[in-house]
Amino acid sequence: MRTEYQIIVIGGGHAGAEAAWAAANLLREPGSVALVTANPARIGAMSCNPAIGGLAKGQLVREIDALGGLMGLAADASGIMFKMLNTSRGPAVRGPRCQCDKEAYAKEVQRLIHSRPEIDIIPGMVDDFIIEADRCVGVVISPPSKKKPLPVSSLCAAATEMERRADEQTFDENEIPRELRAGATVLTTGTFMRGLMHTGENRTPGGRFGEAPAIGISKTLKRLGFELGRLKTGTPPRLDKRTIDWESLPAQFGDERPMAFSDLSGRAPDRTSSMPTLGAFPLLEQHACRVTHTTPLIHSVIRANLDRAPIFSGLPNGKGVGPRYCPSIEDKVVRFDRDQHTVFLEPEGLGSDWVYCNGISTSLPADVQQAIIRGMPGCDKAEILRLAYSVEYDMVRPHQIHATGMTKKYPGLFLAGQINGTSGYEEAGAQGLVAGVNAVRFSQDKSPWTLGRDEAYIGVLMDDLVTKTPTEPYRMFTSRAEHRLLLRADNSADRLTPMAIELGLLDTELGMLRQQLFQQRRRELQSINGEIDSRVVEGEPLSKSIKRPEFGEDELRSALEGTYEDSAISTAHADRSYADYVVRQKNEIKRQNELENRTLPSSIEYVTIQGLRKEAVEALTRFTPATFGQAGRLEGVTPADLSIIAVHVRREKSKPKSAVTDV
Amino acid sequence: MTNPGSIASSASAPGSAPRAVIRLSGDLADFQPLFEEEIQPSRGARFVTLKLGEIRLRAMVVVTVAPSSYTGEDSVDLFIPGGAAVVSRVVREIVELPGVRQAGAGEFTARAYTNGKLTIDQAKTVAATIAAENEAELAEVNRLMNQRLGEKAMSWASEVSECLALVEAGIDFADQEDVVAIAPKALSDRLGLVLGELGEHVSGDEPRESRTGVPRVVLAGEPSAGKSTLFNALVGKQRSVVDEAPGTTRDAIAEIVELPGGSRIELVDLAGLEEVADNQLSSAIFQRTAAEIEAADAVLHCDPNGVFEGELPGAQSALRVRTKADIPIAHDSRADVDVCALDGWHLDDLRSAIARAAGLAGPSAGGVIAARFDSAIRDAMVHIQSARRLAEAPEAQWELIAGELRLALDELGVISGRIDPDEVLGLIFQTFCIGK
Repeated sequence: MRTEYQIIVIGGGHAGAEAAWAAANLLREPGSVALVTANPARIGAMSCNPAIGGLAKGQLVREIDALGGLMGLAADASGIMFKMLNTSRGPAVRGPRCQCDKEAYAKEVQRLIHSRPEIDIIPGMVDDFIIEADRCVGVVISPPSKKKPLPVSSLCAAATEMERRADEQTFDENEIPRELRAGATVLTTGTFMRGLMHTGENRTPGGRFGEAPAIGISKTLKRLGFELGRLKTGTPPRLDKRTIDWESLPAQFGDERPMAFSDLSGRAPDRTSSMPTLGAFPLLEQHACRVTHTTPLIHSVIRANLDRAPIFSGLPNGKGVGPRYCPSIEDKVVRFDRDQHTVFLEPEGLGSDWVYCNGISTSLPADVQQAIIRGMPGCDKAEILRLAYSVEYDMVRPHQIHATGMTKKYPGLFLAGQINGTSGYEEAGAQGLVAGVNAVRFSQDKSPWTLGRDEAYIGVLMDDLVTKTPTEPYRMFTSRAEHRLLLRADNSADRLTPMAIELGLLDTELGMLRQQLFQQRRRELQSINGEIDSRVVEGEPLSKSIKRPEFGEDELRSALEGTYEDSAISTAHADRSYADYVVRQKNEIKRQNELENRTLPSSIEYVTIQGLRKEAVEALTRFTPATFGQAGRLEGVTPADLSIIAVHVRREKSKPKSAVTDV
Repeated sequence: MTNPGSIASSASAPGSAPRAVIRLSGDLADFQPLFEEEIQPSRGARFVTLKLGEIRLRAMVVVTVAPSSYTGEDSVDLFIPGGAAVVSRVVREIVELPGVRQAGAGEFTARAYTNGKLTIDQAKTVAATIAAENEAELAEVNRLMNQRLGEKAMSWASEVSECLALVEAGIDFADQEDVVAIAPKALSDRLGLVLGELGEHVSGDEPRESRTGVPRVVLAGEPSAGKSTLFNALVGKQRSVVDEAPGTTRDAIAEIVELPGGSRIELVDLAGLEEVADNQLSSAIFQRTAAEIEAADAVLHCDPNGVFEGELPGAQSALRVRTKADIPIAHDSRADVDVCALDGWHLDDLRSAIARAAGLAGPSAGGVIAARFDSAIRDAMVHIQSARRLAEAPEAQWELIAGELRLALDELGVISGRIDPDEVLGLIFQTFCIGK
């Protein structure tokens, strides 16, 4: 039994899977990555909605893909309805999204993980870390809990195919190591840390329906001196499709020509050993969603039962704050005076009868949920397969990590995903990738790798995490990115693939394929740009026409002599039509954040700096920003404070020199 | 570190001095457009001509190239006539050159450090110096904030962030049933209103200024409050007729007073205007008193009892001075400064307090901050104008409009405090029912 690894990843959700995958891509050495999970059959599970991508989130998936990640591949292999959002808006704010077959998605993630000899999957729970000289050098493991949380009500005792399989797993405890040691450890706890699920007055400890919470890790982190917080999120009810009058409801279709997340999907030769299905896209039959809505009658039922919604009435001590962008149906009814709210009925899979009720997450009890559902058009006979529930869980306040995901206190220990206060599969996956790469680099004594806010949404995400304390689960929006015009879904490869090559993320069989496709794309872009610069169409230089708002991609395609891939034409078009604004905005932002990338020594003791205001000292001491840019984004730190710090830093730097001269 | 760009700042004390120095540091080429002649390093000072729009101004420059200057970069010291209006005009003209911006507090010193131009000995004192400069600057920021500019900036910023929220809602939440994107026309109208208000608050080509070009500080208070005695003590010579009988001073008297740091004010004694009640001219005189106080840059509200009853007309920056502080009072003084003009007790404190109240405290305050705020408002206007143009185009490009509004908001944030993107999102969540 192997107990020494280069990297340990704890948790097999979207953050954990991506971290293990990235580490394997970098290490390429069998048995170098340990993936410890309480439930190996549920690796890559979609706990909430059956969808990947969306506005800003779609860009994150494209970025993960450009860095050799697995999320885009899994989404492409399991998508049953692809839709590009915001097609009527500019390319910078378009976001690819797809509905997935949940089971197919998890299966694909598991297949990819299993295909890697680098990754050993170890069933178990992590309760403690091995800390030596303030460095995290390993973990202590206990066998997976056999106790299952009780179902909340007989109404929702149904289980999906995947859940049933997970329940049937058995482990030989003698096969599970008690201790693992590694150069670096990535911790991804999702909603499991001291998870507590609510349905009406009913409370059940657990991180996800039917799965036990992780209690020990929470205590361990506290003992190690981490400041924990508590967040709340919710998931709506699932209905039985056979009991819905499906055909009577208006349909919502995907795009006629679906766009894949991954640059590999549908474009790669069919014969790669690790991706037998790459040549085809979309892989699964495409389906439509249905749309229904709430009614005034439903709203009055909700109002009459508000006192039975524990989250609405507020948790004790103001703990467990839910997200503003995902309000419960009771929140919507109380805060907004509307006759109806739209509810999207999204199938959870092709072979499945489970339907996700997008738009009515709630913490109301079973009988009220039943009344809500039965009141919606087309659902008067609908059966609930699983009640809506909300879950509150512990997080580690992210001012305690670097933008690499590594904790400031214990080098070698990395955090990724919901443990850092985020929400969403895409945000989790992105952090997993960053943590996975940096865990490997740390274990190899290499410099940390971070992305700038002008390089990727992933950069915006990590920077926001280390400069703000989330009061709600953090979700990505395009408006968070001041360099939005640069951070597009169409150019993710141009922005990040060269970096991935340099990091060594693309030296695998799949990675080489990416490199090959990327070189091809580069050549195409080069000749398109050459044509734009040289061609004159109807008396006007193409380089000029392209800046007119009404000159679209189609116009460009027909103005070009050569034939090119649509994706290359899109990028060339977007680059050119935005060019003037990008330059202008870049300059403005640069002027505003002049000190952006200058690093701040971590040893700095802000309280000793003369003239720094108290408020600034507090914020700086709490967050210990890594750069002047980060410091400037902290609440309570002014530009004047930055110049005081700049002088202080300079003075400190010259000190040792003077000591030498004095001697 | 990336190229930090060129910077400019007034290097002499604000207020009036016969000659002012503006210091420039960075790349000579960045500053060249300001001059008619080609600027190049020279021994000693040379005469040059500055191009300020249509106006031509003679000035002297000393040009030093990297690395022998104070900052270790190319640097230009510009000597110009010392009027506050001229200084702020020249600074504004310079910071509007491409690649040039207003220097931050202590930035010249910081650059000198960065480029290894300061010795260890000098280094020891610098942090403290910068801190002092910073405090003066903060005091100045507070003063301007109090002068309703802060409040106004808050209301502009909140209107712009509401517009931005409506635009962002149409981008980030286009898939939400509840979200109705703002119509381009409605947006353009709202932005037009903001622009109008901003336009009223940027200085014109000829900034308003008191008659002598220095801040005007007025002594106010009840008759026989000791104003004339204080005036004489501050001026340093006998000018006002001092008599114990009320109404001894018959007209407004003004004198230039030097303050610590070399800046100057015009001190005005109005005592004579507060004539006894039965004088037939009293109402006209009262109006003139009120007008003088209202037009003053700062008011010294004098009261020997330390009570300071009653509001002064329009006095935004009144300093409460208890005069005749050698005479004990039975209650706590509510004064900012207690002085005795006869023996000079606390007069120096009062001088410093006047400097602060008149916006003249320290080398980085005063007109420099005002110019920085002014340029923030101007830049904000430029971005709002672009947003408006984009909204009026046949096909509104929302992501570009949002970009311009974000930049405008960042500029206004210089005055109002930064508006975080998260606050804009908060506005969206308040306005629309979001949540699939």
